[in-house]
Amino acid sequence: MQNNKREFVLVDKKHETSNVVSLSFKPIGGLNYNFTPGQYVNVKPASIFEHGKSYTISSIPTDELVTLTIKKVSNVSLAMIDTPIGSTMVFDGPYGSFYPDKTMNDVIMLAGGIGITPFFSVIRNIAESGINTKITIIYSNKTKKDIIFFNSLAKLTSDNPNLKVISCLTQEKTTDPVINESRRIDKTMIGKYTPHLSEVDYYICGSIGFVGDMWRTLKLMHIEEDKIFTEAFY
Amino acid sequence: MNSNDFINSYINAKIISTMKRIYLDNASTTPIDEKVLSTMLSYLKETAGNPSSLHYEGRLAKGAIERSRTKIAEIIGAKSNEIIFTSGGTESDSLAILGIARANQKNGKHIIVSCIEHKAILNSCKKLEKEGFEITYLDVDNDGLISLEQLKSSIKPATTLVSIMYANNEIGTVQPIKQIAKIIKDSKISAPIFHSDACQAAGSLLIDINKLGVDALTISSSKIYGPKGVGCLYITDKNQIEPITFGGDQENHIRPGTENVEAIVGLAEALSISENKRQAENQRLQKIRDYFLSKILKNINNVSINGGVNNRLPNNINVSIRGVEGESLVLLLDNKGVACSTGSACSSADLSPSHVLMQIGTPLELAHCSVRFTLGRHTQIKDIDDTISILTECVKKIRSMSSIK
Amino acid sequence: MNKKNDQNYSVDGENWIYSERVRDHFFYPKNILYDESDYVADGIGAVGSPECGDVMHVWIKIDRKTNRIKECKWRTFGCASAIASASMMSVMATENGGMDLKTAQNLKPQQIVERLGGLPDRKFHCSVLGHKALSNAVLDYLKHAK
Repeated sequence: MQNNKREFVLVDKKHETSNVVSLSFKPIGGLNYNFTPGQYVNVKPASIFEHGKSYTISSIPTDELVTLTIKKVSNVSLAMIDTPIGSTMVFDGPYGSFYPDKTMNDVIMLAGGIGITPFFSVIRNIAESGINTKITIIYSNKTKKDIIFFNSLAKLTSDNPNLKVISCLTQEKTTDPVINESRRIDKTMIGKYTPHLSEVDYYICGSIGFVGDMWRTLKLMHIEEDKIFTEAFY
Repeated sequence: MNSNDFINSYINAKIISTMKRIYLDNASTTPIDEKVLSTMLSYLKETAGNPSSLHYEGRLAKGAIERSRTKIAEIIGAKSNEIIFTSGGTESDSLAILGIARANQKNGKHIIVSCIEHKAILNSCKKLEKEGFEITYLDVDNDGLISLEQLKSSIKPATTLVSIMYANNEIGTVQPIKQIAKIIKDSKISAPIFHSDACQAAGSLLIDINKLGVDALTISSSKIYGPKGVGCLYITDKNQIEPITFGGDQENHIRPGTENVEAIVGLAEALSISENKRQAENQRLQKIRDYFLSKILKNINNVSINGGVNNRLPNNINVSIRGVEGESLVLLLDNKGVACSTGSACSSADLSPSHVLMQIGTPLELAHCSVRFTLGRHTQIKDIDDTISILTECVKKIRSMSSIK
Repeated sequence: MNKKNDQNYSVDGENWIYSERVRDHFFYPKNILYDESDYVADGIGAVGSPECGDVMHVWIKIDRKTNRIKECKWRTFGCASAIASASMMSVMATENGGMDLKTAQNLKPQQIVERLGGLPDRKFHCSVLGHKALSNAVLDYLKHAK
């Protein structure tokens, strides 16, 4: 098994929503941390007994700090969020291959809640050198207050005509023009925002339930399994 | 599911259960004693009244409850009015922690418990923390015993309740209840109420509340060959307790609701039988347990014992078998007729390993390999010999396909 | 409180705790490598750790002519779902002439779960082990094949 351990110090915390916090870390030892956007690291906060968890990096390699955006769900995530600034932590990684390969087709990203994290890193990274293929993110949340990185996503879409972010809410009805849909993502919605279904790669990220639902929906739409890439958070 | 599906699955289950079963999970629950069952049935046949009703049928039901209450009180050395009937050990524990803490909060809001209490105690404490209570969780050593020194130094003027489980359900550790009671009683700093969860202890250990020195005690029927879904909480009549559920005035308003009469009858009968058999059963079970453990250690290598060898319930074995994940072993054993349990993370709903094993310092990888066997009234030496050969075979199979050699 | 899909029991719950296919792959696992000392693998993948309670090792052999997986062997330290996931993954990797490498790298946990007839959500991570272990074995092969 790989042993890719590196020490970091927590330097900043930012509340993204009422139950999501971004923790930003500085690598100890000077050198930048090399990773591919979409990858994750394994971490274990000091205060828990059991084995730690994997968290996707939401920053990009050219950022000064490495950021993990974490939702409060378990005692591990709560312990992570409660970690005092100045504490050190060991990152084991980076691991994973949840990112579009270099010969990019047009991409549809289906994100549920905290599942936006790898996509956020990927699109920011591509945007640095210009987004040349069409990327559409359909981003599902319960209410408007739950949308993570709302302002950053809005700026990215206004700066990049090839990037579209469709916001849908499942537990709030609204006439707010920034919200595109007020229901769960279904095949009609996917079809509406991705008229050219062939030559498109689909990426799904979110909870086990969300990824499972989207997987089954895409199969009902006869999308080839080889064109679907998934990452479920648990 | 319609009634045909229900019948078909019951028939399938019966087919499987015709294989010889060796039940070694008595700490989870015990099979009902035949005498308890017949007592409950004869009671059930005779009356269907609500104990709160004024009429004859109601009075019969009420009489059955009160006779059960008196029986239980006599066994533990308490007064009848000090016994509250509940739906089982969990409810009794919750009622003890929440009910006593809240009723006495004018005297302080500090509670002391051990870190290896049952989740019913620990999660009730978590609830109290949200209500502004301070909880001290006493550490345990590698054997699972609390430090009497730490207990003594943790008592402060605001301490109103101490709850320490008599015997632990996972590793069988028996705490020195009498000494704990003495420390609490002799304290000049505070006069907290002393509660003990005796769910695993009843039927194995002395439960006379006067000799133990406890102010409150939880008993569970399902651990003493009684029916599931009933238990009781003893609390001295001079101590305050508040209800945690609300309704009519049954159980002196402390635990309202139409009583589970036949189950209460069963609980009393079960406790009486357990108490009568206790000494003889302890000796018998200890011999069988020690034989079982020696055979495990002889036949299987890389086995470690979880919890101390002394101060342990006579029927409890908890070991970690290196390279053999707990859930996979339990399921293979089950397929061959042996019922037991595990403290592995994979077997729990929230994927965390047993908190008890963590607190006694068991390394994580060994916690995932833990298996618990708890012997009972029906366990015979022949069962152990059969279990050993099945266990050896199952361990061999799992180890042959294990990533950990 | 979110209600998760944690249903273990089917109508036949008394007979077994998971699906029939999980049962089959747990009691009769396929493609175990009992002794790797004489086995010359083209790629080896490992995932998990003893502290996690899940460890999976995968050894693959590649048919150089077709560039497909011709053998996929494994060993696992883990629960019934982990063992069944490894076994099912090894069957999927080698059936119908064997998986091509791109498909193997993208074998999704959802595909393993589907073939197993479903897993409760709390066991989903076992199928992820299968996906990652195979993916690592393929990456290992590609790294050395250069």
